[in-house]
Amino acid sequence: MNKKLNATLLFVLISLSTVAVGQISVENEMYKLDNGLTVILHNDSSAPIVTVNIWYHTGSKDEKPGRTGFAHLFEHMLFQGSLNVGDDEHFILIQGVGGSLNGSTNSDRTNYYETTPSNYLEMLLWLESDRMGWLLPAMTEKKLDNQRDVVKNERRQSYENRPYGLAWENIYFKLYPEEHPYHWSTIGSMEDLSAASLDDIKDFFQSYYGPNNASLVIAGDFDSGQAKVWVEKYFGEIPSGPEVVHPNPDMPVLTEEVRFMMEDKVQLPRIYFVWNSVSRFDEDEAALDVLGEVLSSGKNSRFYRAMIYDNPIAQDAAAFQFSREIAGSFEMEITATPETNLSVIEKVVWEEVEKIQNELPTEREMRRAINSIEASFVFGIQSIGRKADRLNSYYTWTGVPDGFEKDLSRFSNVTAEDVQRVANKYLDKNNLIILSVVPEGKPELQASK
Amino acid sequence: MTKMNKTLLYTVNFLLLMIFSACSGADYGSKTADSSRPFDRTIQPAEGSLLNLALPVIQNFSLSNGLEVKLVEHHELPVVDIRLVIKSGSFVDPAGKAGTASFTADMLDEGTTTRDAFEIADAKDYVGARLGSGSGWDGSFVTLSTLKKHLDTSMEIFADISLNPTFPTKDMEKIRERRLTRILQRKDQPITLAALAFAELVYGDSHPYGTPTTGTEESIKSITQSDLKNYYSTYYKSNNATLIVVGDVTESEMLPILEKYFGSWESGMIPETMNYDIPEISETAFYLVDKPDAAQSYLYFGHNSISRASENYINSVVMNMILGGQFSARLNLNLREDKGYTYGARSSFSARRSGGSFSARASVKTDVTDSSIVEFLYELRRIRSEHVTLEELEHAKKSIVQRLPSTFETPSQIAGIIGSQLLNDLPDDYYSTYGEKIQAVTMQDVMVTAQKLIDPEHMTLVISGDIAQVKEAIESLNEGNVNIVGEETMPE
Repeated sequence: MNKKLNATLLFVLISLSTVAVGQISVENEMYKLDNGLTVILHNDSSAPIVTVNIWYHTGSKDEKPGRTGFAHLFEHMLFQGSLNVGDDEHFILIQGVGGSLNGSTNSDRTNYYETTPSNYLEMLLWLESDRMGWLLPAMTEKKLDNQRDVVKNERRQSYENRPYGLAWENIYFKLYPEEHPYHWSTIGSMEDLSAASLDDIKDFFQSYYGPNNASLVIAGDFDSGQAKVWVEKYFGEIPSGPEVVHPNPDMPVLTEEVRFMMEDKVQLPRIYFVWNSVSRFDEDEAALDVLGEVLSSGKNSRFYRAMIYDNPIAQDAAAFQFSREIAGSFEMEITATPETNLSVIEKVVWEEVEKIQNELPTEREMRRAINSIEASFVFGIQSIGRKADRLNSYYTWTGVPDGFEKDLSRFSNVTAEDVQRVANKYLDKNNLIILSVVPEGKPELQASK
Repeated sequence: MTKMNKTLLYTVNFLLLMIFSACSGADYGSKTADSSRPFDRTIQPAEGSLLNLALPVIQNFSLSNGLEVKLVEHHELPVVDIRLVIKSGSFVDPAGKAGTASFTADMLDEGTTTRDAFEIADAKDYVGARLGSGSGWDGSFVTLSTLKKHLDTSMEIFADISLNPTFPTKDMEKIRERRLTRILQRKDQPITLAALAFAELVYGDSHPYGTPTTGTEESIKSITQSDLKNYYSTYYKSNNATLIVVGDVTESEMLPILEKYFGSWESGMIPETMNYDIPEISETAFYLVDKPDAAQSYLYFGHNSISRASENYINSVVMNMILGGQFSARLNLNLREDKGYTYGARSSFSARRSGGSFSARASVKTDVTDSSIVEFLYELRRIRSEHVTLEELEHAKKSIVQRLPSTFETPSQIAGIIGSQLLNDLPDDYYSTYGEKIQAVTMQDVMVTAQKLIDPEHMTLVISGDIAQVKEAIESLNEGNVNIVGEETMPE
């Protein structure tokens, strides 16, 4: 073992501007097994721990009609054992050595990750490979029924019983046409969750969980030579799956204003503005991120001054770009102060939109936004768990795991003109979704035309 | 400049990992090997060779005014985390003025003698620094995360809000309005409603723990600018504070910077902390908080419990890890993985400086509210009446001890742990013996500790959910009187 020679993190400080962060590079070694599994190794011996992070390039986007919520339910089933790993044993073994673990599903990818003391790396590879290769023999109706109940409770807890919890689901129902895979939510409908069967599990596993549709990051304090031997040993014999083809409909474009209202068990009215914008890593994405910062991040942001401080009509106000693989949206979520009519908020929002469409943001606004984003790159790689997930993210969306520098430079290069340009291009006054969520029995608080 | 206790060094080999390795690979069911494979996949790989955990080395020194500094060098990335810990928090809020400590901390970055709120935010955003302030029961905090290249600029702002706040009236009124609105929003959250009702029922309204640290509508309305100034000038003193520095710096680099910004901070007389009585709970009772048409019931069960200094603390950590401390603990395996009643069930001890509480919690589907209560009580009684298995005990102990390397991973984690040690009078080398103490806990200790610290027959069982759908079923369990906590009796 020669860990000391592996630089944990190459940190070259160069002066991009007066206060820029510098360049960040996370050194790694990437290769593919014969079955198509992508392997990415990153040594960081600053703590005696190791992270295994697997991304399967599948999510709710790949679900069939009538099976919304299935990719996420399937993720739950991956914790229910496999041929050589017992029911719940995945959790028991990892937590039993002081490890932490979880998985998550979104529209485009599903990830599984665990961090343990580094002397358990081989066990982690055994566990992950067993469910990648030998999941189906362990699947039973009883386990499926149990996790179906758990996921329905997750839907109740995180959506139905949560204030404003159904707002986004309803927005995307309207932002994307029925045939677009972002039309439905990742949690899915109760009805579709009820319909999921063991046959669905088999189909989904065989279609999307092959090693050729996955990438495995190992990060932390480990020996790369030994890790490669283990990866081959545990994953090498898993057969490739079929080539995966993801739905890729055209970017939807709203051609009208869609204004609607929901009542909820909440104290404060809240208003949402949502525009079609761009997908992840589109050339306008970084400028849209900076636009969100200038509008709503911190006390000097436009929204804080206009809605929270000078004329307090809002409790909180956020504006941000939300990018997904094949589409994206620019979104605003503003919670009004008690009894404030949302039309009042809407008026101020349009004033601010017009302002940034017509006047360039100041140099100081630009520097604050960009420097904060740049610093967050450094803060964001302090834990190996988050670093491993970023490596997988850059790999999955761009093909290059160490995308930190390139990503950072996108932000460094955003100009005030770019921000003004994207504000004009995407924040269209006539084509967007406006949702008012108001306290039960107070429809008069909605933003009406 | 005086240097005291220069560099208390400790580095510990985690020998106990070796002890644990003997009982790893517990048999979770036998399987037949498949000889056609290149190796036997049924066999769980053995753990690798012993690793060393070097615990953070805390260097102690003090500034010319006596302000104590604890510094840990952490050179992985060019970042520095700084945490000013004031050893007083919400526990010493003046009577009837709950929320004073938290409001005070909230106001630090709203104006200083030389900057207004916007200038403070502008200065820190310009260098991408993260600045925060807040308070807990036992302490108040000002925190800074900065890139090292901006250390001096960031430190100047950090010191400015820590030492020169002015609590400007206009900003205070705006913050007061926002805090009142957040208090109103508590009604949206079944979990918050249950937790607040629980605290009030267990501690009553004369004990600080009975009222939230962020105050009530009434208390926040009553707090004046001079209340904040008084709290600040009483407790924010150099002899009631410690600076924690973790990051890509050394003592010799930091000392002049800290001396420049904090070296003339004054000391003061700190009032004694009062003691409070806790009401006796004569019998187990249910308290229902109505959330009509709620899709789930939120269960929050528990009672008063031990402080962090208790001799039972270590035993309680192990016992709770088995009962409900993580996914693979009894409560979750039963209510979620076996029954499917919930997305997750947990229990925990909240051990503070002057007391604490035990609670067991879950959000469950409305129509299994009664069945879930039965399972909770079953688990709470079982851990008192039967020994846990050796396998469960070893699982829990290893879980706790081997988690340490991950909990000391980043500068902000390390600064947080040191801050917590400080507020609970734990020594710098506390974690060097922690593993041995956990390792020494026996099955008998777990049962005895459960008998001492978990009392299902004198428990407060708060349920926030749809009363119309659950009340009758709860009554028919015959586990305790069922009370309704009405809107008028609800803590705000």
